Amino acid sequence: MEPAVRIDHLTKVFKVPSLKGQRVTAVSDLSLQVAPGEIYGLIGPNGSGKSTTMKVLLGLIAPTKGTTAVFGQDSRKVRSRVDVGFLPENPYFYKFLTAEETLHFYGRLGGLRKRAIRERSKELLALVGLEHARDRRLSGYSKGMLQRIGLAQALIQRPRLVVLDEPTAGVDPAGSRKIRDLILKFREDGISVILSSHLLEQVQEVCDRVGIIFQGKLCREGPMEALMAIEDQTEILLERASPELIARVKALVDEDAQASLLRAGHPRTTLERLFLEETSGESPDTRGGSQDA
Amino acid sequence: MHNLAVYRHFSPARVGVLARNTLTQLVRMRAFYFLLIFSVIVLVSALLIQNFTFDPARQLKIMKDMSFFAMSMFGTIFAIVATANLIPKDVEDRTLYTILAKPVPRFEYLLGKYLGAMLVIVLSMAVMMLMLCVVLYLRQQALLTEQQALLDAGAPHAEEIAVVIDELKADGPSTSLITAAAAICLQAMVLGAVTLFVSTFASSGLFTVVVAFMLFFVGYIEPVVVDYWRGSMESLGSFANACIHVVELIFPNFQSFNLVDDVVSGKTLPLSLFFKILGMGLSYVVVYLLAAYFIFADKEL
Repeated sequence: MEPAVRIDHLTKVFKVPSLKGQRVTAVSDLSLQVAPGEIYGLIGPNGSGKSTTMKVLLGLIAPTKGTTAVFGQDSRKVRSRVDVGFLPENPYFYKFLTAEETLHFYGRLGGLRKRAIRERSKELLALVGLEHARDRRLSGYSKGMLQRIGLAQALIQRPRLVVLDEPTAGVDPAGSRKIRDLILKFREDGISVILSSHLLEQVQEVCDRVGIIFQGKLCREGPMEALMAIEDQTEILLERASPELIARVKALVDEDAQASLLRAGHPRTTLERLFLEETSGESPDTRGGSQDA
Repeated sequence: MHNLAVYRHFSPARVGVLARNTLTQLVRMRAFYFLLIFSVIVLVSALLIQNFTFDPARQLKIMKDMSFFAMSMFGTIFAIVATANLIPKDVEDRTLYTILAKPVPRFEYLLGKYLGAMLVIVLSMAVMMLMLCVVLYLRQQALLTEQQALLDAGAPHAEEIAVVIDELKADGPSTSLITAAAAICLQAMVLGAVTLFVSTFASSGLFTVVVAFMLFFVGYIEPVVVDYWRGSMESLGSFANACIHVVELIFPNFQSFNLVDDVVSGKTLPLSLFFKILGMGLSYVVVYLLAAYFIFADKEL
């Protein structure tokens, strides 16, 4: 099966505007693939080359060396963008347009007919929870709402690949969680995602595979489970365990010559979950909590 | 799940969407407020000019002169200021990323933006022209009635009054007025294309505005300078002439779009002159848009 994204030996060198003709290598010999339906996290510090990689993939800048392809189509070709939806970091859409007009604008650019846009807009505004603000100009939108309309515009032509650059930057925890839930829904719908984020906890929650990029090079890559697993440790999570049972488990561990008990106690919730419980009254989602035991 | 989109290498619909969006942007930025200022200029010139001159035909001439000056100012300023910020603002706000991340070729983006801005100019000019024609017609009719009444009352100098009536009839709304307004429109379109070209490599909107105004100035004084060069550098031979030709080709001669003086003085403009200006104007638009595309096509965003 054709990968959703194929990046082969990508190198991008920028000329620095100076008299000396200096050059900076933003990305160096980077190769990766994203399978259809996979959520791939691209993480790394600022200036490591994440956004440059995404821009090359979207045809916004040309590679110095190497190739990039989206579902087998060279990403320098405009046609490859039919299958791509993109949400840039801190997007500012046309503030003079309403949400509905924004989706109409991007839908038409994506090659959709008016009727299809009307139906799709309705669906997407419901998906991102902006039905109530459909006729409001974007100048009156909060940052979280802008990110959500950004997601909607990215999805308007039903792309098979969505590229998200810091989708939760500057968004409050509730908005951030909504965006996370939307990304998880992409997986259900079979949409491939490339996600760049500094919120590593969120990346950990949603991504199937992760690539760590540093100084333009892909240092480490693999499935989330494999990368996160600490090979020489085993976690046992008990519910309603009596102090006697805990004491017996400890005694059993003590009997073993090699094994040692590192920690025992109550698992902690996350600050995000605590915040959401207090501010929205929603029942906490069990997924994603810290499991210190 | 299947993709809904249909891709074509060139889509007039996409260009139309971009143009309409730019038009909406400029309208919602209240660009049409200038029309209010223009209305005031036309009405004030119609109502107050009679206090400054008793010559009825001169009143109409002054009214036309003031209105065309206002139209020309609007066309020049708007073409530069509105076009200069189209691309830099989209880059700064990153709106350009979301647009070009859709299947939109860069030349369609440029063309759509340009056409949107020009649509505002054309619509504004049309409205201004309509306003001028209506007010001019009403004032002309009022003056004609006045003169006819004098004639009917058996006023002395009947021959002079008859001449004034003939002059007034010639100074009303005419196709020459439309030709002059169309020439102003074309000038604004050429200037818009030049400005768009500068904005593709400029580092800021301000730089674009300054350079575009300088190019406009150069184009405006070009015929005078070229005549001077030709007169004083004959001895330099063919190389100097070739250089002058290049200058003439690169910088549009904005003087050639100025038909206002002829129209105000009551001359009838031949249609061939309009087509000549149209051909020249559209050629410059095409050349400068192509030049803008060649730079923008490889621009790293």
